[in-house]
Amino acid sequence: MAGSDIYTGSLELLILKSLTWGARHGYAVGQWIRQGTGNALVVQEGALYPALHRLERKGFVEEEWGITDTNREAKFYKLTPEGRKQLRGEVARWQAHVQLMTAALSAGKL
Amino acid sequence: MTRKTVHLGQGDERAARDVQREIDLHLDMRAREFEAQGMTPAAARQAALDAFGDRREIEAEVRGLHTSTVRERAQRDWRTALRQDLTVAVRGLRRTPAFTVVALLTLALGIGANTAIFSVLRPVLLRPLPYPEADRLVQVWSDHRALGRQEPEWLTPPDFDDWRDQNSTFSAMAAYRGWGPDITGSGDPRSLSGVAVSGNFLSMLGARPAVGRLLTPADDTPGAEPVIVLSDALWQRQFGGDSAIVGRLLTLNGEPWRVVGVTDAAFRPPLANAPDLFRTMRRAPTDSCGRGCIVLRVIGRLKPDITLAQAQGDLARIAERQARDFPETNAKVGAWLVPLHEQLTGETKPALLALAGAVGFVLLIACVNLANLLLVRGAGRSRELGVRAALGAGRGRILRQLLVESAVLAVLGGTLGLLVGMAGSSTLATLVPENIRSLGEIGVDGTVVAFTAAITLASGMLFGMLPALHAARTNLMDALRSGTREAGGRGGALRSSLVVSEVALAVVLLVGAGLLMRSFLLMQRVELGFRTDRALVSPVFFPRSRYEQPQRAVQATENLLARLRAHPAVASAEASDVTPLGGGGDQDVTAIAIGEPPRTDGPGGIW
Repeated sequence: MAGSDIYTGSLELLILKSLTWGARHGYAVGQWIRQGTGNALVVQEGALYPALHRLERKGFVEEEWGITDTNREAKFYKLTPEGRKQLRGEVARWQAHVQLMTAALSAGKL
Repeated sequence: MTRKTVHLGQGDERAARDVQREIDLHLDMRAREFEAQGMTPAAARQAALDAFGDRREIEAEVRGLHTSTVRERAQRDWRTALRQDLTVAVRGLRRTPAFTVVALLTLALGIGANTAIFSVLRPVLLRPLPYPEADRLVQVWSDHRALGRQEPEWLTPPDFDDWRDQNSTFSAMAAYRGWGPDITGSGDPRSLSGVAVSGNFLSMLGARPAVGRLLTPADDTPGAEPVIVLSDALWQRQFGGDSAIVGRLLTLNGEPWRVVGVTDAAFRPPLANAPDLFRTMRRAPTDSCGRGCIVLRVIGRLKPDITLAQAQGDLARIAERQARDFPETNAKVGAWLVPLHEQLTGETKPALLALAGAVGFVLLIACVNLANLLLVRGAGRSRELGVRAALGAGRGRILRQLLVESAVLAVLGGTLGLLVGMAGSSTLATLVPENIRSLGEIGVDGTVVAFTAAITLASGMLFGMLPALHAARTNLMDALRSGTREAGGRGGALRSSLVVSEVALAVVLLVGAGLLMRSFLLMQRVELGFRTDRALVSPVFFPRSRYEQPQRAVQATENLLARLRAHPAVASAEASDVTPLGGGGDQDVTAIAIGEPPRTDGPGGIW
């Protein structure tokens, strides 16, 4: 998931994280991200869907049709074992990255 | 964003529909959220759309992702179907073991015979001789046809000198003759097979020394030190590949010869018997052996861009001059050039080509036979295939099923054929004359396996395609209607034409085999002018080291003959230094004993 586009990378990381609580449909994933990041990260809500389908193609999530709270049939996404493994690795890398950046940027004065 | 237009399959349409539903749901729920915050439905709808971004672009992006997924899925489906076809094919073949065994044996024999012949044919006919620029090497003979001798003749030493020195079309010309020295002083005395060569012989053929050096023209002068070069085989066999051999003196025919080098293992001179060692002739220009003494075999290397005909004309002019200058010995003697490759393979070539043609026909017949069997089998299964077609299997699918079946047959048959070919190849290799065998390894290597794979593939297509097309065509229409009854008259016509071509092929093969057999029988019946039945021959060597005076060898021969004649099983025994029709005379000391046991006696117990 590490790519030159850090936005895409972090979006996919957030999607995987949102699915750790169980299968969700696209809208619920978006909602979790908006609330979790205080509406700060997602510029265009539509960008969520290509990211979801990319993850599906990579085998990190799989589709599962289900019924929403409002009784509508919807496509749910579920973490696969590979997806869970990927998430763990990426979270560790993300934290290491942030630590390094923080240490480097907080040295000395601005 | 530009994107190639792709044909959307069922999966693509489904993906596109899914995305639309996902986005519809998203927009509805988002609008509801905005409404809950107090917006009017219309404003909430607009806010949801604004937050979402360009819907069409996002839909297109997701569809793009799935197009390649669909392509991958198609490949996966294709592989699954192939696996199914393979399983069905193997199951079908196991259900009819008699058919399968007959088909596999037919194929194994056909492909095996072709593999074996190809493995022999390739080094002999397809690969160049193992010398640099081998296509410019020619065997140089003198032509005595005007004197009534149909066979090409060797050269006399003075003729060789003239031809070598006066020609303008050869970059080199080398002579050689047999030499059979006895070696003493290193282990048991034994006879070796050697060759006496002109100084440029080894270098002209591109030989390289494994250790030491090769023979040079300087070694080939009457006053030069007697030096020899060993073959790699003798060096390994007799001296354990020890490079200290260079400089050592060996006693050959009682005289000291210094070893100056060893030829590398890859070098094989174009001679009938691989020689153990090489020496130079060290011939004086005024050799006692004059223009009547036909002893030298000659190989020449043409200059670049010189044709065989030009060289032939060149040597013919020299021969004419010689005929004028030395009418007693050289009248009516010409030059006769034969490309070296043809010289070495000429006698074997027609036989090999005839064999190749014969086994080719055998494989063709095998294929036609199999096509016929498959056709019959297809007719028997028309109902099964008809049901499959009715259940929705397309014509292509059924065609593929049938082709997979014949491919399985072909691959199994080809594998068996390779085994048959390996066995056949080693058997054939022992039947091929040694000078042919020395041209290159006969055996099954990568190229031969590739050849086998190619003919296997071709066979599979040949015997599989026609029955498969036929079955796929007729079944859809007729099979269900006609049940297990044979479908239509077309199958009958097809089978008839297959039988006709099979019979035609068989007749060709039979005639060919008959002709081969006839020439073989004729050869057996050739009048030799003497009787060969109940006659035995054995070479006996009298090493000079032990029989220094020729009289002692003669005495020993007489003793041997007297004892043989006294044996009750021997009618008569004689000695000679040449065998009838056996050539020879090359070896310095050779005695041959011939005995003829009386008819009443059984075999064995003579020697």
